[in-house]
Amino acid sequence: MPKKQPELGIKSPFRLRVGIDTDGWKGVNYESDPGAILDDEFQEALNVRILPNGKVVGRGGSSKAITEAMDGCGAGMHDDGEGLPTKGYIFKGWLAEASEHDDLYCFDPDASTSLEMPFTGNTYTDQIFAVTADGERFLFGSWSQALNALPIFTVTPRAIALLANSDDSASWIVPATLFSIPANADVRRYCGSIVKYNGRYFVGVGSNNSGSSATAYAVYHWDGVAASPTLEDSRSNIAQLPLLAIDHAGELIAGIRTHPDGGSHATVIRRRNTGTWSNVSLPVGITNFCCLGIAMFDGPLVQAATYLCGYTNDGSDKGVILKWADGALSTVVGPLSAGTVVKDICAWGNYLFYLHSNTSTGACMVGRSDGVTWTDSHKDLFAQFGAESSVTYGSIAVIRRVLRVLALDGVGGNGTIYSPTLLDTSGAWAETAQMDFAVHPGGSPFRGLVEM
Amino acid sequence: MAWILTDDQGNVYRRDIGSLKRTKLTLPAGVYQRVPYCRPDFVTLNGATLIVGQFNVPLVHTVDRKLWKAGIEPGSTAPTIDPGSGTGITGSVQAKLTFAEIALDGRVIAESNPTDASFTISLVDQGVAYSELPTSHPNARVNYKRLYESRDGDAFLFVANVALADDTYSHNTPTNELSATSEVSTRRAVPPYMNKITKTNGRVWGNDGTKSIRYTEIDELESWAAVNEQFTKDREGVTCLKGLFNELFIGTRVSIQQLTGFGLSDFNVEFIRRGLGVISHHGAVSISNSLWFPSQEGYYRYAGGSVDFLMENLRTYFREAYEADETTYQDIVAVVDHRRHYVIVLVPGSEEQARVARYYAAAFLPTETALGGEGRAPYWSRDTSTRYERTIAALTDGDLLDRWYSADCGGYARLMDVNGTTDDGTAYDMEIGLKHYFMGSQGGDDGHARTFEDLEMFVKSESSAWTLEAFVGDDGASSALTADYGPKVVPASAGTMGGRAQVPKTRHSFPEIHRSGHGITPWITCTSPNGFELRGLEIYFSNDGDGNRGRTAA
Repeated sequence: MPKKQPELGIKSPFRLRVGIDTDGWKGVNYESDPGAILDDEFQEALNVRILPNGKVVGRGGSSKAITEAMDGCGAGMHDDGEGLPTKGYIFKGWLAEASEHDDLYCFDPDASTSLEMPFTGNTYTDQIFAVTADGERFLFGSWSQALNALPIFTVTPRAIALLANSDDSASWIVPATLFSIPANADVRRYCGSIVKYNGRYFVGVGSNNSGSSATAYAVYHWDGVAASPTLEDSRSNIAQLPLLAIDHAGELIAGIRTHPDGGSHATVIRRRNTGTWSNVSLPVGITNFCCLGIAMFDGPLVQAATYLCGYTNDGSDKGVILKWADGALSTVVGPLSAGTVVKDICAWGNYLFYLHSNTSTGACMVGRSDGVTWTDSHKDLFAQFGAESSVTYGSIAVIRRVLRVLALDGVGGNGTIYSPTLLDTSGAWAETAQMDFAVHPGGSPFRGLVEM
Repeated sequence: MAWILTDDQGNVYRRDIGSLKRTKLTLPAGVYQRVPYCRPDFVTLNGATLIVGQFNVPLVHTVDRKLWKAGIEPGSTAPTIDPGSGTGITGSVQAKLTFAEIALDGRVIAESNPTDASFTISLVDQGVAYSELPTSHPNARVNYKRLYESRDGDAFLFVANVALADDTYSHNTPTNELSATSEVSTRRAVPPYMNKITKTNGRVWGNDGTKSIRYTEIDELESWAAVNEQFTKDREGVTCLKGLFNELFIGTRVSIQQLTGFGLSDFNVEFIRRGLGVISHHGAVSISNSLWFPSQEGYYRYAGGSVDFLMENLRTYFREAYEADETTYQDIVAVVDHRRHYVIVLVPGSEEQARVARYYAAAFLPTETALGGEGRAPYWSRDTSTRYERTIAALTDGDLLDRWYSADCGGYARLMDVNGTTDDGTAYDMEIGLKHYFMGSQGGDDGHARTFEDLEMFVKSESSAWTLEAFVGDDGASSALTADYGPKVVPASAGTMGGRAQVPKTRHSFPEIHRSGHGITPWITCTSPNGFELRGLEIYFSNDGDGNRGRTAA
């Protein structure tokens, strides 16, 4: 082979711009001699990623997905979601405390303890009244005295999930949004309910203005930043908070009861149809109606309708359930005996369930209906669990596919969650031990039982 | 929805979506981890998850978020019936009962096979009274009995659910009110022991390592009738079982086969190839319309008729590695990342042998023509680990996004390939050895050497410093322990300077390299290579090399 001729100077450079001059890097080649592998292959490629655009980037690090270790070496991992997104839901029960304490509770039906999340350091709230799971967001509203704004808290489920599973439950809550309403230093503002309707939140706000002429209740549009009223009434001294719901026909309905100073109760049921509000007449025999719960039900024996529960008052409270269908209200349950109040109502499976109590006899019942037959005494919680005497804010909801009733167990007046144990829901029920708040001082009426 | 995790001490855990904690689940009575240890396999069907292999019996994690023995054993005693009060039934009546777990919303989660039929009773406008019904069952999940009756010798149709604690039941349901679609099934046998399962066409398929392939009723995870059985064509033991588009892929040590058909009448097992086998069930993954599976010399792809070898550039490496550690390679686990079009294959670590985990990683987009690729070989690289990682999985976290997770002997499940700061401080050193570039003839004498005057590397690395070395000489130069040039540390080239945004530096010159040899191998290393990109290189050389390997030119 001839000797090369001496040459000086830089010859033509070898140039390889992978992704520009060629298709991209082709990965590692351990099979061929280092000099025989292709220009765009590697002799070694450890902890790299070869991208479709021809680049090679470094492999990332790792991050703990669980903070509690397993006892041994990991053996198997499986995702049981079958490709169904959960949007961060953790399917726990959430409820709010509405007495002198102002905490939010999260309970897992399978866990041994509940999680209390106090509003540490928050001066805006005393009582939580409205609890709503919006799918993407979890919202709850409270009341405000001598403040011109209502605190409405919105927290993403994922943030709650992470925080609720940490040991640091005291600092999880952050007032995310202050819901501003017109100034009135003399009134107490209450957030009665929050509903998402037509892409906007509707917030029911009540007030206690002790005789002034200020707005007594209102329903506001709220886009998460600014609020504007859509429905107002100047009757004063509201007794219950505006309750909002979307009915079976996709309309927004509002159940409101006021009682003017020195006067009798007055009831307002409003429907929002095609963007405007209109009054709905109460059925014959219902002189006043305080709405405490609204549920839509589409059972196998009846057409879809919306049911409003609460009580009428003709001198004493008497529980009733009204059916809202075809543009009119009719009475399907009650009026029950004096002192009875239907606290809440919800649909589960082929039945409609409703919680009612009698403050004079101590009875606390779960009623059931298929839409045709109404059995008020379907399950007697009082008979099984004892002296329930003052269900201030009872709730009934389906959480993790099981009916749950939130009521007081009478022993110190503390809140407890009860659930049926068999398909025949009139049989023995179980008490959720983790949600027996016997240790909580002062008794804790709860409301706003919701799953998220 | 949750993750199901197991460890090698026989514990099972659930991790809720979004949670940072895990909950240890209680094993049912009589359940224990098999010896020797067997990697578990999982299938979720209609919300319940079957877990096989690791324990002495198959387990099921159901919507009640508890672990149970899979399947429900039938009762041994036929129900006792007598004429009862009421009216409405005329004719002969026989009864059977099953045991069941029924959710509170009415869904039957699992049901046993029926008992034998009761004695026949004859009724004349009467009711039926059941007595001495069983009130307990060894499987604690059972909460109901389900009663079935045959009227006048017809099929046994569902009558009622009776709570497990109740030992009597009476009814007078007329014959015409029994639903003809609720006939009792005798194909609900409990699942046998299996160490591999998969699902396709609404059924779950399983195998215990023998020639037998068992399968469920459609949409019934826990119903494994004894007659639901097929065998491998050559009666070899099954080493891999994976559901594909409309068929079941079956691997043995020496063959690959497929089962086609839609029911007992037309199920058929046939060969795809003989002389080519599968070494690991968990190492096989389905991508697009093909199945990638590990053989004794590397990965093959079965794509509905064609079989292609995917590891031409790693054939010897894989084969020798398998020969050196066959037990570990028969336990490799592969998962797919459909987002980034990557397959990653874990060679499990061993704490006992102080051997950390290793991986093969493949970018498969160029391979799969059904996904727009050109059918060429996948691009392989390898990963190293600092831990005894024992399993990996592609899981979601409340969304549809594929993420890789590993689980190690520290007991943690870890999200892999995290860019930026990781909360556990993990960093993996990247290493890229480019090929040995000859600038002249590699076969000549020293007169064919070149002098490398300048080396230009096109690298973008804004957050991590990196190091360049170069091996100069013939094609064996890069096997030297010490590089001929370098290491030269290149600082991260952040895109800001003096408060002004700058274009990141992507061209890095090494003009002082000035080494002579037949060729040159640039070698890059980087610790925590976040955002590192290798885009190319330029090599400037002159033909006046003096032929002395690695010597600085005069």
